[in-house]
Amino acid sequence: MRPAAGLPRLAAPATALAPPRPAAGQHGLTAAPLQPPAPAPAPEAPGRLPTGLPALDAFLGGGLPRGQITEVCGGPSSGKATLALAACLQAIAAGGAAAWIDASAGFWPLAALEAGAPADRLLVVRTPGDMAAWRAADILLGASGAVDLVVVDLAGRASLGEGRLTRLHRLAERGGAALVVLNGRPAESASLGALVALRLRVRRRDEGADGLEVDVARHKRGPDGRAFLEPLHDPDRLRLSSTL
Amino acid sequence: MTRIACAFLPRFELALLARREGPGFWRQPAVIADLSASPALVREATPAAEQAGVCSGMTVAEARVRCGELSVHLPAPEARGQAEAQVLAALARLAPQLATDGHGAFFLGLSGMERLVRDERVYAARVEAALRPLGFAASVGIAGHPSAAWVAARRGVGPVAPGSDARFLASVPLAGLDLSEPARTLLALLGVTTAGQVVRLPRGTLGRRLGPEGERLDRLCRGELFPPETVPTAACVPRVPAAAGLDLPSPTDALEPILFLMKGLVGGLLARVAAERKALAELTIEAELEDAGRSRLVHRLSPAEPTLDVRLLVDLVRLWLERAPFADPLRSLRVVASKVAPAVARQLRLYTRRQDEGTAALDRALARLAAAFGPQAVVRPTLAPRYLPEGRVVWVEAQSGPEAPWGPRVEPPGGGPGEPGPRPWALRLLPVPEPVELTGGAPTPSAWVPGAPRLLVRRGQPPRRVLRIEAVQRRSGEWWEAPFDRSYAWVVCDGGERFWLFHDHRCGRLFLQAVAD
Repeated sequence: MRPAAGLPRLAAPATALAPPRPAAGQHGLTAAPLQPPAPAPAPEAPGRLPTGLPALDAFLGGGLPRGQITEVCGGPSSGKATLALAACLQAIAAGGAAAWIDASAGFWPLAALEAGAPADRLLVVRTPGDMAAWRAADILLGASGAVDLVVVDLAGRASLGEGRLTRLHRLAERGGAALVVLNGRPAESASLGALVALRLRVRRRDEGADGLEVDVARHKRGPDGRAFLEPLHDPDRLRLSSTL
Repeated sequence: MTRIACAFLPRFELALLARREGPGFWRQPAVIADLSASPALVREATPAAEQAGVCSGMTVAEARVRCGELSVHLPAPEARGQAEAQVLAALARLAPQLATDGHGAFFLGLSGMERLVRDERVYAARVEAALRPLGFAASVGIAGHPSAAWVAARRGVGPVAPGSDARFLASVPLAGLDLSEPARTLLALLGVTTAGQVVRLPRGTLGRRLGPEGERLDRLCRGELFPPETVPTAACVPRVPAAAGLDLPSPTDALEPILFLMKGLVGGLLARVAAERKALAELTIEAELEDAGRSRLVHRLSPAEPTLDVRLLVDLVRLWLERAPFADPLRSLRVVASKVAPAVARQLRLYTRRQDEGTAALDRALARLAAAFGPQAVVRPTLAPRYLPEGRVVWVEAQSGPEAPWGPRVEPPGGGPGEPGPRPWALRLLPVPEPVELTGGAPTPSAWVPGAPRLLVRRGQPPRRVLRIEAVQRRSGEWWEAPFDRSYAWVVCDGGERFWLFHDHRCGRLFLQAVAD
């Protein structure tokens, strides 16, 4: 979804997603160093888990909400997994651990490993289907304090009963972990449920260079119907808008 | 007063052979030889071999000269270890503390058993009787010190009166000990015939004259032959794993009734384990099913750390049974505490930091995930040194415990949040490379001409307009195993979609390998 006309737009640095630049001795999947260098992140806000995308973090008041459910929507190759992986790496860099529940059996973090990301504290759980993925999330969130972030990467289109969603929400709330659900549905489709605290619609933009466009479709504890303005380095890289 | 019994099994390794070959083996001239020594030495000899002039300590070559029919056998450490375990298990019924010297002497600690061992001769007879069914003819000595008990056992004198160990050792004639011929001759020439006379010699004299054999004799006569580890302790007592089981009156395959029964069994099992101040580290479940062949299932479950928590174990059982339910109704159930570890005082946990709690929680989660989905489903990615890009990500099984990479939480430098790391693409690897086509120009990415119109065609999907092709790179190698020669490239399509393609130069076709998501 395009941001509403007239809303001020927030831009991330031009290197929110670095284009491939093969380094000597490596092949073309290696992500190049950030340029210009991203500013050092602000100290982690209470109850927030930074995503590593400064503009998005600033807009969300520090990052993804801990103890809450975040839904990231977008079609194939939209960049939703990239956003979630960035949050995982940020959690690991901050000394925690993250879990990626892979029901699609295709998660392949080669670029992250070759870029030197600390993926050794990234736990990947391969589950046979979406129902098993929810069960794995239940187990991980039930072990309070085990991980800071649980990403549920679904194979099909996400659908979940209200009861299961309530249970996951309670578990996340008790342990303080952020639960991120990657939903392959089109951006216009309905949300997972009323307990989703943050809903992001992601699509990849390419206008000469790579970029990510994020619409904040729902933000329960954030600004209501307002947008935040930062100096626009490149308006076409990372666009944020709130529809609430 | 400390009392120690020694059960001496003469010619222990030959006795193992005799158990296998039958009693007739003792009538044959045979030796156990230590071939690792240079020259090879006789370690044990049968009575028939000794009658032919062969004795322990002699070189094998000399023994063969003295006895042409001599059969030479090698030591069997594995069989010896098994036999020692059998003997220790038999002796564990008679004493709470055990030890062995590894050469056929087994020590039993009798401390605190004074009221049970009123007559030491009767006790010695009970020890001998306990080993007879195993095929060993033991002789038992009882004294206040391992050396005195060992000598008493070897000489068959039975119990040594309390407080008279030194007097007993001093009176032992050297002729009754296994000494080599040169040593025996030298000591006879010196007029030394008893252990007491050896003790009166200056310390170290015998070692200088007779070498290792003299040193050993010196230490034996002074009561210093056996090191402290041969003092019987409870650690050597073989543990019989605690187990509990029941037969179901009516076989069932329903999960909840099985878990209810399991909870009762595991609860009783843990009570027994806890009574030994231990915690359960591995639970073995043996289930007999009501099928035609009455098949038997054995499954082992390991909690993240040794535990005495019934709920946690039953929860692991639940996860396992939900993943792999019984194919037929359950007929009987048995649980065994197959591994235990010392229990840790709960109070210590009050002082552990939150990070340790987080690690422990992660360990628990790992154990539960492994039980629910199998250990291969819980992995972490590592980078492997491969030429083929698809082979560079290797998934290793995620282990719990202190050696796990996530171990304790890592605080970033300065205590604040870490520097923002790289933000690479998350990729989705296709299980099998998918053949694709690039239409409207040269078919390979390396032949791409900027500005030329082009479409990416995937089977069953609408064509996508290609904006550009990036990072073309040719890679080849691994000729020793599965040679390849490919050009990899990123194809950026309209709408920002990114596809990772390779052109296989060996077959001339284009394949889609991964998609950036």
